[in-house]
Amino acid sequence: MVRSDLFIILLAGIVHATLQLGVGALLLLYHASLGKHVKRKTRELVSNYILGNAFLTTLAVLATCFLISVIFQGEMNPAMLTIIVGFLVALAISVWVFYYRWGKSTELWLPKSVAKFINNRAKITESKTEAFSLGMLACFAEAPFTFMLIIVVANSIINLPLSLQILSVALYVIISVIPLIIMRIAIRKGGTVVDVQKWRLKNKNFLRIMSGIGFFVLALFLLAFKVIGAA
Amino acid sequence: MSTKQSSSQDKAQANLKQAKAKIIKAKPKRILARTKKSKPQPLKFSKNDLTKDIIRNAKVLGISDKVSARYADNVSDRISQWVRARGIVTTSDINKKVAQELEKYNQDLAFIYKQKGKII
Repeated sequence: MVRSDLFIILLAGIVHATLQLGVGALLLLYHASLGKHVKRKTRELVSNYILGNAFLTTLAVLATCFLISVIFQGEMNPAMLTIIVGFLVALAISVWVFYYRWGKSTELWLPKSVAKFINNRAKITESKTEAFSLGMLACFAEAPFTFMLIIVVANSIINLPLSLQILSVALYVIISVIPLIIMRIAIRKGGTVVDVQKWRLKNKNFLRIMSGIGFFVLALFLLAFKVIGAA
Repeated sequence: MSTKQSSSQDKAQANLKQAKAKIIKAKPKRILARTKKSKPQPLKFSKNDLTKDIIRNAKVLGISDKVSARYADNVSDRISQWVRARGIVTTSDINKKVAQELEKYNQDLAFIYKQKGKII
């Protein structure tokens, strides 16, 4: 059962990593900052953005673990997990159908006002604190898609022995911010924001499909090992 | 002293009465009433702002200041003529036109203008 819990955490982390809001907001921050500040300051802002993102994800996972252990006195019951499986399937379909807006762009499902707000915040980010809070904001804005992932991960973490719990939280958070770290390295190595955006445009459909499949596989796995397997 | 105190107390009481009367008169706002969305305000096109914006975006790509200033001057001249001829344009029209003009000079810079507002 430890193996199945670890696999759930790994898969949920990979699905979280395929979501694009954090990457898009980081790209906006890069674009705004490179035109205004020296490279060292841009690097600091980007590092703080990534830390903010990781911080809120960690906080959400730990808080959910606590809530689940208090409410359910341990792991969730199969009835509740079945509902979560349903939600994951709905999210898979949502990602395939309306995660990205139609057209040749990487515009997401966000309401225009929220996208404008994030855009404006990225443009006026000057300090490390603002970059940190922008990272938290981007993580929070993705909550409709990541909320179920965090619940599933928290449910699996509770089942693990104490020595593995902290490692698994760290594993999930690190996997979820890997795209941000890769983007930071790519731009540091000489890539431009245009290269990153072209890559996102080119692989938009691939990411959408993989994200949806990830949600679907996670739902099937939960159903097989936690609902039917536990019965 | 006592008359001064009584007059200040009277004033305070009178103010309190007025404030209470205002509260009673004020109609309660509907909590679920739709707030009026503000309409987009028209802006005056500024050639200087466009020039600065193009130079800033060129800096993001690492283009040198001299070259970016040349691009910006040429493009903003053409765009201001186009805007004067059109009269009223939207921001996205301007971005599309700028991208079209910048394609003659630098594809990456043109790409930035094509993707404005379309990242997230």
